[in-house]
Amino acid sequence: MHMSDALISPAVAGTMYAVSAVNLHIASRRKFDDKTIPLMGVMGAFIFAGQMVNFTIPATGSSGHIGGGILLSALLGPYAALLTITAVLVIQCLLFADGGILALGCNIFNMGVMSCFVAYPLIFRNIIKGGVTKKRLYAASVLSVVVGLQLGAFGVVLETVSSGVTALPFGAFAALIQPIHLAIGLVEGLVTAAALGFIHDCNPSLIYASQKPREFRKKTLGVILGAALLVGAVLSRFASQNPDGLEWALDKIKLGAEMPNYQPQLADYGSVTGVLGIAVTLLLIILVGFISKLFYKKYNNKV
Amino acid sequence: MKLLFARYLAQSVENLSLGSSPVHRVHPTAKLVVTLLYLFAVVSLQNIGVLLPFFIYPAVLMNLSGSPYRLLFSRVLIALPFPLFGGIFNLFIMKEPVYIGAFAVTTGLISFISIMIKTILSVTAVLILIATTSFVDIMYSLRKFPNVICIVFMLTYRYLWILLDETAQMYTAYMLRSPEKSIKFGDIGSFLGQLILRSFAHASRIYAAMKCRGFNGAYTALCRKKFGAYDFLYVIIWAFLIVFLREARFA
Repeated sequence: MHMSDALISPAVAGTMYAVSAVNLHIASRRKFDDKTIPLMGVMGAFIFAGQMVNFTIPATGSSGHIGGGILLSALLGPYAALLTITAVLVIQCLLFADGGILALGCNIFNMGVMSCFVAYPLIFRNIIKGGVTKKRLYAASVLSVVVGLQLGAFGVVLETVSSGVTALPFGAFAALIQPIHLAIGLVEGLVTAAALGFIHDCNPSLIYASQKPREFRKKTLGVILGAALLVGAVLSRFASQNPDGLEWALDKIKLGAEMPNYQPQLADYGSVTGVLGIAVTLLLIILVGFISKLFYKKYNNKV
Repeated sequence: MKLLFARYLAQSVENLSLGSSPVHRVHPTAKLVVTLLYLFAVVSLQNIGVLLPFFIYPAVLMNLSGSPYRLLFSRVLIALPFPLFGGIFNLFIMKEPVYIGAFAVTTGLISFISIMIKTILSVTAVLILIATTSFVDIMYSLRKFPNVICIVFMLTYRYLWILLDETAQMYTAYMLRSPEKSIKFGDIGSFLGQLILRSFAHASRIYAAMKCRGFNGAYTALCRKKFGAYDFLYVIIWAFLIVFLREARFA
């Protein structure tokens, strides 16, 4: 579900950065006790390691791995969980080139905010409210992971379509991505439930909800919903600016077919000068690269 | 095995940041700023002709920093599938023909190529940043962020390797006793649960160790580099070139 830089527009990237920043600000203003901070770091590392463990999904022969948001929220609380997920996403983006730097705002929103600040308080908390039992833990995990992933996937669809880089229409994209994530969500939900069930058997005090039953404030939820509405408004504005993805993309790549004033740049490539232009550009780049290499060698002989 | 492969992947590029070159010397903040500027420029463009000259950035920096081509290219390949998925539909949806000289191609093909070029450029830019700047240094440029965020970033990064090793040990132990090819679905709950319990135990030991060394909840960063004229020049030159390439629209 990691979005990459190439498929989003700067406007969407900037908007989502702002939204995620607001949510991170809310989370980081919480007073965490000294002990929670190292725990957040280690749990972030755990999510990484856990995602590398593949297991067999019965009757399909394929393999799956855990997702993070709900599991972390259940163990650390939603605020600490969002910060931890963010750390995981930043490291995945920098060290593994998984999801781009510009798309980070989108990714934090889709995978972090949606599950920690929407699915967790609305679903997980409410099911578990009457007291933590294993049955409730199972139901809460599966349901909230599925909903969290669906919301996240829907975020991917909205952000991608408003960016208008790919021509895939909204309906088709949603119809493609939502069912896939329903299946992924069911598997991730079951695994999260199994892991939390095990923790409940071994040391029930580690489940966050059993320590602090009423921590998540209604006010925070209001702020988040407000932010979500704002995003909706901003994104829909972008979407309405380019109602037809195809037309917009055509304009952007400057084909200029419908526009009489345009110098049709791409058509030029066919002419000799166009091909020459590309060739000269590439040669120039190679030349500059070669000179850079000489500089590097000189520098390292000197040192 | 996936765990060790992940470790190799992350460390292979990151270890390059220990090298020395004119690019390694630049202050981490300067490199971060230039990378972001470059990414914004690349992402905001669609025209292949304007995108092509942007290859000058990886061409200069990869050579100037002495990064091995093959390693970086292999990492770019890993990042390709998602944009490929997003772009491939353009091929089937946008069917209007465009004539390039004597050849007829569809607009979908052109936009597909442009998405692929953008992917390669943006992923390479991030890889170059990581190959020339250590994660600790990048965190140093983000030290103005809230305290908790910085510490959690640093700790997650630091304990990543330890937990990966620990998971690999548990996995090996499981596989040695199991006839299956990978972990059975019924066992995954207790496997991950064990790992969580171990993580909690780790965290409490780490907390004790940090407390002993005077941890008071504040993020202390160490970076010996100072932002000097050299770094300033680096930002100015690249910023000028990027804006020029974006606005001049030659080629």
